[in-house]
Amino acid sequence: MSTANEPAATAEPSLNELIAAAVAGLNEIILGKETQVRLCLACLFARGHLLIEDIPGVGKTTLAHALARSLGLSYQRIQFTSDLLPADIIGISVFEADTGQFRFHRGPVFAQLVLADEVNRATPKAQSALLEAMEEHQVTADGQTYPLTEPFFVIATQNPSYQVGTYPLPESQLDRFLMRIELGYPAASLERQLLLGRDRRDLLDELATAITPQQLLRLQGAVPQVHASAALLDYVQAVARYTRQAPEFEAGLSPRAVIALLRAAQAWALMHGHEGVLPEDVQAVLPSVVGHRLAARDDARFRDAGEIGQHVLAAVAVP
Amino acid sequence: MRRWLRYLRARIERRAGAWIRRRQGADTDPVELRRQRIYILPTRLGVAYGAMLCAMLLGGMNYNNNLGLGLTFLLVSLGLVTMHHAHGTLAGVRLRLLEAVPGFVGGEVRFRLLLEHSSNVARPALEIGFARAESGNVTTDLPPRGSSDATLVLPAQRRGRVALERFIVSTSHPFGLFRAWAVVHPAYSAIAWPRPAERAMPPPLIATDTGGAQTGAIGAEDFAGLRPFQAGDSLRRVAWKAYARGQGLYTKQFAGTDVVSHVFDYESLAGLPAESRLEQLCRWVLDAQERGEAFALRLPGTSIDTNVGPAHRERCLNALALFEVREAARA
Amino acid sequence: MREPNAPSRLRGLAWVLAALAAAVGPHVPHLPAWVTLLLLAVCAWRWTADLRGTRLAPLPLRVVVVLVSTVAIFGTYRTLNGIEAGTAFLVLMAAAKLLETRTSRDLTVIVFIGWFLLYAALLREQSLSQLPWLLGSTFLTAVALMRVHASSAQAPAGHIVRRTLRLLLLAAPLALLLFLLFPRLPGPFWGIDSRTEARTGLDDEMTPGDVSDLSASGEVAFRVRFFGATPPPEQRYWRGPVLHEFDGRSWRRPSAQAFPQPQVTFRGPGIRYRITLQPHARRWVLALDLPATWPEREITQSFDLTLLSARPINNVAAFDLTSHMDFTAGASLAASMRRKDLALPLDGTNARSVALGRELATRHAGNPRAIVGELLTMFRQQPFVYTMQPPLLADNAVDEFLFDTRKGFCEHYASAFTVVMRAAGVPARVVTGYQGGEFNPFGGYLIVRQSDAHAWSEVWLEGRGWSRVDPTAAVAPERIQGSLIDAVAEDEPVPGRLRDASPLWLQVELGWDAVNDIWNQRVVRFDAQSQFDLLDRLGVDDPDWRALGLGLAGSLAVFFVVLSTYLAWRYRPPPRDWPGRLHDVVVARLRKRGLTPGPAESPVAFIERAEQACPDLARPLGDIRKLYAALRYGPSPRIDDLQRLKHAVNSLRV
Repeated sequence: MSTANEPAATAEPSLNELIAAAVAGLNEIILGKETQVRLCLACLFARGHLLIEDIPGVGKTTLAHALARSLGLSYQRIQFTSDLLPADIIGISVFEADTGQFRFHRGPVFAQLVLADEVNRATPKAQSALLEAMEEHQVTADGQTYPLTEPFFVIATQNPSYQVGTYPLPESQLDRFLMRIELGYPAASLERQLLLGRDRRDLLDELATAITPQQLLRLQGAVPQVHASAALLDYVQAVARYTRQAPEFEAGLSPRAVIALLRAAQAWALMHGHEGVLPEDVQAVLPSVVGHRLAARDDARFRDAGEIGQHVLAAVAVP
Repeated sequence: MRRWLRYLRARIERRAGAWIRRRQGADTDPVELRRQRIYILPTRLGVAYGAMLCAMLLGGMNYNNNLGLGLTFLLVSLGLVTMHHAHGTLAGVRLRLLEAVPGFVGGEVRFRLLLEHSSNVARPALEIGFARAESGNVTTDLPPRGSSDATLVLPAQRRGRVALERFIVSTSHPFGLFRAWAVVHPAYSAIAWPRPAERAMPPPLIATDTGGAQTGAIGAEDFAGLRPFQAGDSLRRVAWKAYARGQGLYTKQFAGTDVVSHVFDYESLAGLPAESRLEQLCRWVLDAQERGEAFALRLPGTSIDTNVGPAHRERCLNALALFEVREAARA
Repeated sequence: MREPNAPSRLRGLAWVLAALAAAVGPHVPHLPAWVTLLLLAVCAWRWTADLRGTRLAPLPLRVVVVLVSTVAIFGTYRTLNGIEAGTAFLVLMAAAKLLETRTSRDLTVIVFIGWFLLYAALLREQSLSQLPWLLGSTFLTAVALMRVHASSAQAPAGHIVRRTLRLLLLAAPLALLLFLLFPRLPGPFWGIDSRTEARTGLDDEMTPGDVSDLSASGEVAFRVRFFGATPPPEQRYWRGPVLHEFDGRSWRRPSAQAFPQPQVTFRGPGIRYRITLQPHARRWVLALDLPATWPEREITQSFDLTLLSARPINNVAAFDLTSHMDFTAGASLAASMRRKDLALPLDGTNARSVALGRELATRHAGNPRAIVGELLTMFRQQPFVYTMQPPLLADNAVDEFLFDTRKGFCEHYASAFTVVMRAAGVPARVVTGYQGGEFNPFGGYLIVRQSDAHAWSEVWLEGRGWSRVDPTAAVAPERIQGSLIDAVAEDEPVPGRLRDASPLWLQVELGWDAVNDIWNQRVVRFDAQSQFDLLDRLGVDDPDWRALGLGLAGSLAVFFVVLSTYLAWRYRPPPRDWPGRLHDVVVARLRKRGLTPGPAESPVAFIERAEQACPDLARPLGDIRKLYAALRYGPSPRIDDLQRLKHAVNSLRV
């Protein structure tokens, strides 16, 4: 099962070692959130974007920052506010008196890891500028197309929608995010550790790069190669079928969502050294992948994404 | 006469129910409806059908009418085949509890059951309920190799656990002439939360700032000062006035939102009866959740730390629902 | 049964209406027009009410409709009993039920009424040509019932139709078993109503024109299968009711009057045959002149030698009879009989005929044979014409025919001949029945149709007893040797099947008749004797009711076992593959350690959990887990992985 006993190239550390090192480093910084960290990495490896929904102050920024450092990615943070304009995200053409020409000043989206903070505080117009960039991996300004850097990974954070003064992302846009996770409060003992320990930001500076961008691209290329057997695909389809026929959801998973589920499961299998995707891999990523894609008919039905996931998983037998 | 018949019927049903309970024992989740536990009887329509066939048979014999007899025999066979079908439709269905949905006292709790099977043939018109032909019964179809779910609703009359002691899965597929049914005695229970008090007393308020533990709160409400401009900062937040004064490019900073946090304490409501205290606490929990405020809950013997979110709310409500007043008094 | 949120459209209404229409269809010619119209109106109203969601009829209106209809039916039929009134009543019940149809239960009741109507149609008639309609309507009603009880989320019509078809196909073998083996007790258990409805056939009264009217029908009257050679056409006189009483115009059977049974002696070989009568609602059994033996339990012989069944022939009935061509019937004639058969009306009608008789009597005193001979010669030599369209006759019908028009059908000749004989003092009577018949080479039997209806005379001659004299034979011998078509003039219209039919069509018709004959013998006439014969052929020695009952019980038991097995097979879970089966084995073994997989727990996760729970089994379980994962989910499972997994599972000891 493990690929550890495969002969690894001497120069290149094996993918597993890379992943293990990255996870270990991140866990130093983000205490007690190992699952979320792993999901976050899986999302990145599957070339997806991540949405974090939580109240302020639980460490979203730190996670994004740590991830950027650990993977050696260039990092930008965009604070979304109600007066944010699309140009604030993608950049703006400025007239330069020296040359007498317009020059395109690249916006913060031209980074490998972009943290879009409180994305639901901005107007839908600003939101869609980011979402288009996410989808197409390029931006268009004044008729010119500028490709974004690769790898390109967006972590968007969103306040719980019951807070006032927000523009919740429309459901169609939510589909652009491969996963949505919640960080939540740290456990009491870990919180104590946080209070007693050193400032997280100092630790960040010391965090070594675990994966180079080239290695990351290799990892991303390896994800779709992870074998998905017929039995596994049966399972994935059974899950999709259930969501489509279950009366508790407004609509079932779209075909795009099913592909996303498989990709995420493949990434998870890769991270855990599975030769082929196991149903457990699907089960592990499922709550994060489908939680924001399935709208319950009855708003009070599910407490959180985990519950939706558990609900779906409980209803579908593993073949 | 009618009343007497109804009484007799209720009595027979009770006896039969007790006998079935003794025979089957309690069920453990998941429940498979095996052949031995499926009962079958004609419905009222089935009895009428039987009477019609008897009349046809007698008439056919009397008139020596072979074609009439042939039609009668075909209908008899059809009836018997549908009887077997009703039985077969039910046999092999598996049931399990997907979820017991809690509710407030005065409202209802719900049990979501999953019905599944592994055969390649659909099983239509499965009816789930507490008694035969009741208006609240749920009808559902099982697609081939698929599953479907059904919800049973019980009124939440008292705070605490509401048990689902017995329900019936039945079908009168395909012609409604025979009804096959199985009685399930599950060990399911759902939690009934206290009824929230009508009018909330003002909650005790403790203001803390839990926001800055990791990042320094960056909010949008209160102006807190300037810092040097970084790429990525919104152009709207650039302090243009300072820039105009030639002081360089600065970004305006705003302080984080004050996070309000409550501690809801059972003891703080001394003077009220125990149940009223719980109802009051329940109301506070709901209101705080509504406003997105953090809160902690203190009950004698139980303490739930400050947190927010639906999961936290539910933990608190469950604690209120399951709180044992007598034990608390002893403690 | 009641849906809580019943949709405004009633599920299956269209199907139920269609099924009802199919069931009512064959009754329409027998129903009063207002019943049919009322049903149509109610159907149309209910359908539009369903489309528009209109409120249904309030209770008082429905009560009024039911009461008024019941009274109207009673007014029409003077009874609510019997098939005619019963059918009309059922149709009105369906209409009344439609007025208040709200639930699937109401619709089911209408379907039941539909089945009852089908049944009533079978009481009326059991012909083979009904079979497609019967099967179609039964199927349609079953589909309607299926549609009514389908759960709401369900199913296009094709699905419902297929499912119903499957049910009926499953029911068919059992229905066949019941049909073959369910004991046929010789009924009836209660009085059968004498039917008022008209059936084509002979009557106990004959007025000029009756037989020619009957001859216009091509319907089959009966079929005869001879157990020896078929007698030639001119000997095939099928004896029916004998008419004695003449009122100057019509002939009648005497009303209940006792006459001594004449003595009959037979000579020569008997002709054995089985006659299968189509229902004609009368008691007489047609027989080749003159029957010698008959089943005594069911048939008696009247004083004028006609066979009478114990009950009206309302179903297809078959009898084994023997007849002799050579016989002497009534060597001596009782005085009362002689008086009866010499009586003529005293009012002086047909005076010329009576005068003719008297003249013949005086001319050939004491020689009745000469009288007969002379009258026949008169028919033969004078310009008498045999025609199906005789001129209308007034009061002195016999006189007008004999002396004026001289055109007539067999009943005219028989009637005139008998009158003249009586006037001449020769006891004579009119015999009605059939003559001839068409041989069906496909079935090897004789078909006798209504167009073969005939009337002739019998005279009593000293020393010879009652002798048949057929004056028609003197006028148109072709009729007796051939059939009607040979005897009448070329330009005369005769029943369609007789003339201008292509030979091929005639062959087809005869073939169809042969099939109908088989249907009658095998299905309609299937009785206790047929059941015993069947058992006998199946090798049961000396079959009796007990054997029949045992056979029925046994075959029912076999059927139910087969049906249950079939259903269990249909609902079977899909087969497990090898890794799945081996995993089941592992689960079964680990259950002994108190470990059961959770509902959605994957096999790999379960074994992993077991490894932690049972450290002593960690090694073998680990192997099993890896092999299972490789086989089930791995990219390229090795060929021997399955063998290794089998080995690992088999050597797992808990």
